[in-house]
Amino acid sequence: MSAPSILTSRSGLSNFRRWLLVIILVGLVAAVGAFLVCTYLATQPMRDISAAPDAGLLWLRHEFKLTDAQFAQIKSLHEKYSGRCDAMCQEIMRVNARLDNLISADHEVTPELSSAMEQAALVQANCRTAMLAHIYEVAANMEPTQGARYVRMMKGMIIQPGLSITTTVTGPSFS
Amino acid sequence: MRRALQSWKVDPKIPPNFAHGVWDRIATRERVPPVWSTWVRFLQNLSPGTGSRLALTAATLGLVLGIFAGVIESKQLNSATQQELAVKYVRSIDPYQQVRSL
Repeated sequence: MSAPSILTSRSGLSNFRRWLLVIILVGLVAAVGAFLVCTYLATQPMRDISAAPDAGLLWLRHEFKLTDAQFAQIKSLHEKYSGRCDAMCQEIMRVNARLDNLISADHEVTPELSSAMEQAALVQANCRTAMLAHIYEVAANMEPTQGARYVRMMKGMIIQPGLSITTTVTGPSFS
Repeated sequence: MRRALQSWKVDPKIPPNFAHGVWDRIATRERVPPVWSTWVRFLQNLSPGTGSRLALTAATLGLVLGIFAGVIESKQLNSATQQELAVKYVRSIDPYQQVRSL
């Protein structure tokens, strides 16, 4: 009677090990598989947007829930503004380079340096005005609540040009 | 009746390796931590049907945990991607950011 019970104990131990291994493996494989599939599928739309050439505009569409008509209108506005934005960028670089040269050459605030600083400030004011006008135009093509949120999100750049959006935008829109 | 009882003799036969078997079982049980002993005993005596149900439960639990972790992870990844895309958009309309990135 005791001999079979020894056998039962030994086979019981191997049974235990086998089942424990099976249960752990099955649980792990299911967990890792579900994690990978879920992460892949849930991040797919954002990865698609990110890979697109006009990713910024597609983000705008996604973030502010634009309809096709709104998106088409805003895209057209954006394309028109892009040319002006490039020209402003060139102008900023030109006045900044001049200011840089004068600051390096002069050792006091000369009338020429003052004039260069005024010109840089004027260029900045023009850029801010153009940016704000574009922001208002874009917001006008959105749903009123989305438009107001868009202006709130972008106004940091107007108050302080060149400021990163991560430091100006916080809260639910990015959560 | 008394005679019959007096003539009745019990001759118990101890099977070979009985003592070894007892010590073997004691050693086996001592190797297992007491907290796990019930669980171990349960698994030792597990029938294939119960085992596969337990494996199925583990798979379900794994799936639920995996999906939960996946949802949290993808939310974080999507949030980071949205931030990057927002920066990209802002750079496209702010000439000062364009100058800075040149």
